[in-house]
Amino acid sequence: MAEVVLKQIVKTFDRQTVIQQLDLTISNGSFTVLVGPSGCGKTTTLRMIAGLETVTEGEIWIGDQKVNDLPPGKRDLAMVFQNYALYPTMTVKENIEFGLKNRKVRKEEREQLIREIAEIVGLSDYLQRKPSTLSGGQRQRVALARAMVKKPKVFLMDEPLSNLDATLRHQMRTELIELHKQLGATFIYVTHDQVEAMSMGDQIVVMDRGRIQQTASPMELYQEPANRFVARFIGTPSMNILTLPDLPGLQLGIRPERVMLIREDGSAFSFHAEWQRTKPDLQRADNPPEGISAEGVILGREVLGAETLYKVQTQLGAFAVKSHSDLLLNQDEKVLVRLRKQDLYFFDAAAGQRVREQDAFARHALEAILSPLTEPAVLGVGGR
Amino acid sequence: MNQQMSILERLWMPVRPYLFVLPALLVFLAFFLYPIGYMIYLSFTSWNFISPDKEFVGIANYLELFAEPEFHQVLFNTFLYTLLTVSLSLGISLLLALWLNRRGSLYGIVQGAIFSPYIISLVSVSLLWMWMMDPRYGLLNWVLNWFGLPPSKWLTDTDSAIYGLILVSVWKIVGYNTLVFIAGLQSIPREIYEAAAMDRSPVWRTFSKITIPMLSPTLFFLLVINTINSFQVFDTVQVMTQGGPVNSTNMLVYYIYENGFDFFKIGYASAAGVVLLLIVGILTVFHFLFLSKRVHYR
Repeated sequence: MAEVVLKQIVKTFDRQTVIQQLDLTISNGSFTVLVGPSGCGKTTTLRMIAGLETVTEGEIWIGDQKVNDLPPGKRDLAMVFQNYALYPTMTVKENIEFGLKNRKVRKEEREQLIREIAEIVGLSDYLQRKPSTLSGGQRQRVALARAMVKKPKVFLMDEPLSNLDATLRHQMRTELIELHKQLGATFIYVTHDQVEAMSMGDQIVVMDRGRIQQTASPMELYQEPANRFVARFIGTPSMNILTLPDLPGLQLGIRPERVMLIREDGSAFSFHAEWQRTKPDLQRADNPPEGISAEGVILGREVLGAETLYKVQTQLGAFAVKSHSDLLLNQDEKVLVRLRKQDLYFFDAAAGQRVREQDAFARHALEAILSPLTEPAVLGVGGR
Repeated sequence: MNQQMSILERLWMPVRPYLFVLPALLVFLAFFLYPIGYMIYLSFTSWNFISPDKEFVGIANYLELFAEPEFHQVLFNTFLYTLLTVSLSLGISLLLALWLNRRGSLYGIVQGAIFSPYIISLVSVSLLWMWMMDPRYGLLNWVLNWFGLPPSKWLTDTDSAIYGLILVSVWKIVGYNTLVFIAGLQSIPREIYEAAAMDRSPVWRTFSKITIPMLSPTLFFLLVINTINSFQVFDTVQVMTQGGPVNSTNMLVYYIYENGFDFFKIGYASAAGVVLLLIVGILTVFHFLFLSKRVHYR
């Protein structure tokens, strides 16, 4: 068991800096996910921890040992590669055994370990097969078994599920979460898929252009993004970013699933469970909640079954709305748009940093655009 | 009408594939099977290349061939030459490929330099080496002398002449083998080596358990090609030694040429040709039977 600490890490390839001053603490036993678009430096970071890539500047500590100059095999890590990197000329058993042999584990002990691990990952019947005769999912398990058998302190995984089909990926996701609980080891997992990151990680590190944008738990990332990049990266469809003439120097962020659309007849669409709780409040005339009211027209829609995506044109601009209602709005239909104050995000237009409500700047902005959300009493007719 | 079409089609369909391969088949028959058949036929005759009569002599040519001590020497020379040429060139090429399989302009230049002998005519190469191997004025003896070693007589000594030929052929094919090995090495995914590094695999173990098995198709290909080529060595023998001194560098193809076109013993030469065909054939079959099992194709 070990904590992994990166201190002021810089990585340069051919005079091009790909990682800049990276500080990160991965606590013992955590499931940490490095996530970001391609080229953000997540894989490079993982490979530096593994020792497959040298560190240009800074220090990497695993447990109480500085590992900068330690070869990969001596770092007590195991890695699962994106394309599995199984030894194609060896059988499944030999693949799993290779690392043990190099560690000079005795034969009886090796046999015992291989039997146990094969049992866990469900490969007992395939030990004598070559990887080329296995399916993608089975190869994935061999790669996992090869990593697990070494009983490492830290597991490194580089997009291990990206070569699997959707169903299998989903299943393996669950299995990996289970495995993490069982083993209690530290997992460091790289992916470009924010859904994978959110569903698996207990600590998520969002990276972009060689810098950490935010390190937080999944819920915190969603609710309290530190900047525009994180806000747009987490959640599908991405957060709408609007530039309003009323808000000089600021941008307004709205999550598509937090917008309420109301049909002219008063039936409500697109509501989040949160909205239903707010409904009684909306109908209170004495102290109505604050928010933004606007009128809009449906520009287009995508029906996905469980949800529907709309593109809505309003005086605030055009933005995406995600609805969970089974009723459908038609193109060119007129709607009322309602946004609650707590669902509004502000960002510095130039730097992209989040501007919080406590900030005088944001308070001023809010005053400029907020109005009481008084609603017709018919609200609540529609919905699910 | 429809019925008629289908009858025509029924006749046409089985013929069609053969028509497609017919041109290739004709070339194969005319330039490969026919000469081999004719050679086998000639090996049972006595013919001087000019006389209109080809006298059928049964297996007399073969009996003469196997009784001839010179032929034993030729066979021994050919096997020795092949064994050393193939093993040395494969070994050296593999080491060079391991060294050169990296990026950088130096490595590119060295690769090109090593490959260049392969594109030069073997006759020019032979003349060049003869000049270098000259016992009195040659560069090689000068180098030996510089290191304080005694001079060698190179091609003029029965003990060293065949090694001179082996040196030339190794020098010539190493570049080609190296290039093929580098291509083979580059097709091994980098992640596999990284996985081995994570598995704490020592260098020699990574080489023997990962590189060699992954390289086995390349190794096998080069082994077969080099063996066949070495058995058919001719140019260097013809230019540099004419089989001498005292038959010490005479090898199968040169022996066939000598008997056929210098001594006009066509039947006898054909019998030697059949023996060459059988040896190469058996060796190749042997390679495929016993080694191909150990070759891992992805």
